[in-house]
Amino acid sequence: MKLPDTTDQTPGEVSLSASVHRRRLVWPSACRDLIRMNLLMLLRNRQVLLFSLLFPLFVMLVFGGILKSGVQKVALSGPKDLTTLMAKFLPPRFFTPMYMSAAQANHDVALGNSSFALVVLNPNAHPLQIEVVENFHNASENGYYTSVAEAIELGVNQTLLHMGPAVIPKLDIIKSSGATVGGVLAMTHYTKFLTPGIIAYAVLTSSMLGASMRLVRDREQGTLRRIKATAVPMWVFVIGHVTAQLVLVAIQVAVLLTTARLLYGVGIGPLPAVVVLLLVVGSLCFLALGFLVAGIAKGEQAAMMIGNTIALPQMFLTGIFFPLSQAPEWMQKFALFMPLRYLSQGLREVMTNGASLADTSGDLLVLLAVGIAAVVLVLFTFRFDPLGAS
Amino acid sequence: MSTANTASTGLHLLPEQDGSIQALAGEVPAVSVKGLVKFYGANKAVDGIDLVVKQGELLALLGPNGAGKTTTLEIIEGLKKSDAGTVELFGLPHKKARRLIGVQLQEGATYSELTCAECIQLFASLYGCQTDPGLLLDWVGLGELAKRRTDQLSGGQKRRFSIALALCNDPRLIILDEPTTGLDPHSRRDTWELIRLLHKQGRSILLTTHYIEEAEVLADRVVIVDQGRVVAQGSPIELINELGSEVTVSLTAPEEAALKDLPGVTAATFSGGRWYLRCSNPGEVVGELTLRLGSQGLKELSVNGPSLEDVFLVQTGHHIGDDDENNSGNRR
Repeated sequence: MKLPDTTDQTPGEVSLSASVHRRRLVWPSACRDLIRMNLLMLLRNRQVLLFSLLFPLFVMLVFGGILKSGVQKVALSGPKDLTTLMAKFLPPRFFTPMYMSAAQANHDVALGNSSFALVVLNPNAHPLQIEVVENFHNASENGYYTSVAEAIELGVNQTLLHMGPAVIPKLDIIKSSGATVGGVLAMTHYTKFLTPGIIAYAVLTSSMLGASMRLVRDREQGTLRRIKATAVPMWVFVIGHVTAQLVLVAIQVAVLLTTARLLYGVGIGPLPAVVVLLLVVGSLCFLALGFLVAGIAKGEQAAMMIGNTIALPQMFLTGIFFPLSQAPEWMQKFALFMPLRYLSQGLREVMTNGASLADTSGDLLVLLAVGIAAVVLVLFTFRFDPLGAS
Repeated sequence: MSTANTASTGLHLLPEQDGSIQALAGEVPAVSVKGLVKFYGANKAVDGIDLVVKQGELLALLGPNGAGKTTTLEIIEGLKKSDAGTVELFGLPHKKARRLIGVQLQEGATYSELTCAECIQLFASLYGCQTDPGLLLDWVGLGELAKRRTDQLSGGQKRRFSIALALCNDPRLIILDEPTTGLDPHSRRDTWELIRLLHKQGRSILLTTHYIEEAEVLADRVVIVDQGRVVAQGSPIELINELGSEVTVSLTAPEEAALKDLPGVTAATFSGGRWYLRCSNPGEVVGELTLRLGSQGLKELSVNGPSLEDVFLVQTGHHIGDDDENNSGNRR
């Protein structure tokens, strides 16, 4: 080891001190550096990047492009002006419309030439009814086809409304012959449905899973305890952590939205401020849950297990991939207890369905309430000392 | 942001801006602990410890594992609450003195994803200090590793880095918990050198150790702790002198030699193939030994003055080293 000779030259002269400059206040610079370093740590952490960026991106690409491999045919049968209008609302890169008679359409679907058919039952009925003809061999895809059909129905309806009653007075409402339509489905494209859900899920994983695992690791390594021994107030530590996580969420959302925009033409909707508000409240809520998980979990493995136990059911049961209106009733009820449902629903309403702040206030309130409850529990459960130590 | 340019110069031990700290008188002890008690469940880990570290003093808390040393430090550092007793640092409660203390914990206690330099910078900032990490790392001999991530340091480097972290706020009091445990002899000596330098700079240092040699070599004053109590304290020389003038004669001889009845021998023990005889008249004892064993039997012999080891043995009734497991077993 090389020790500098200067240190023991003249007694009383402290070379170490020359490299240290004391500030009057601790917290402003501490806050800034905590945010900066936490962000640096997040971006250097492979697990965090995998969970919060690559995985959601992968899911979006796979599910968004699931039918991209070959353009599928959709048989449309009915009055020409109506069927061409319907065709406008088909996701363009995935489906080509084929116009034919009702009998032909049925035949085509049965043979597998067309993925599904939309048949106008009686052109003179009021309201009009269309039947979605599906091939039951494709059970796994039919849910998706139904959602496409419902999207078309809503798209056509909205267009007709805008045109006013004078244009095509006969067409007021189009009824699907299948199940009734949930309000969730006011969309024209599956990725428009998918993107808000994936973003919500990404926020959940990075804020809850990522944060809890890092906190537990830092606690078990003694880092949190070392921080407790410094002069920094604990609220500064929390602000540093939380702000860095929020920046990470911003990066996630930017990446996912850019991808969605470039590949599928999905936008953020007319009210970006409300989207941001939802994202901030949502990630704060999930961060509080992350701190809670960290307080409960004994080690990093346990944190991951608890986190996944909370996250995975939410991914599949809260309508990220398909509309909840199509889910069995038990799942719809179950979803009521999952905070992710409210974030994904809120985001979808605002981004896709043009909902206002007032429309999503319910979702915001639920997220806030869950977050506050979690914070209260965190105050009782969070620890800075490693659990291994006495 | 260039930290080097804005660094102040000269002696900067006292932050003159902070009124509460400015008020410190030179004679106030760096650490003053009275009647400290800490229970872990029903176990009394700390049982009424009193402790004073004068300013500029290097005090070693010496005791076996589980003696309550670390717990005492953690209470002083404000990491644990005591069940009874008071702690003052430079006459201030812990909260107001935190910026003046540098803390080294036994664990790694660093952020894995940060480099050494970044970690120093961050922790300095948490003390409200702006520190040049390069200079500080140079100072502890890790200058070349400034850009290495902290999780890629070797065991010895980690330990030294934790000392650097303890210095990042230019502390007046440095608290080191077992700074050399688990180090190879070479690194241990390097660390001692570092601690000596810090001591020379006028900083107060409180360290724990279960190495007698470490306490003997480094400390101005040693406080011997056993089972949560202070059993003896004083400078190493004082403590040894208190034992009286007895020395230890040790020699290789068979157990059957029956050396207990030698004139002037107050205690005789046989362990590890050697006899240890305590006496105050080594000359006579050695002469008697030569007579008894003959020049054939007496192959090797040494006479040692009393050491801290003997102090520990006399005060606690057991050896510090071979007591490690026993004590920790009892306590945990």
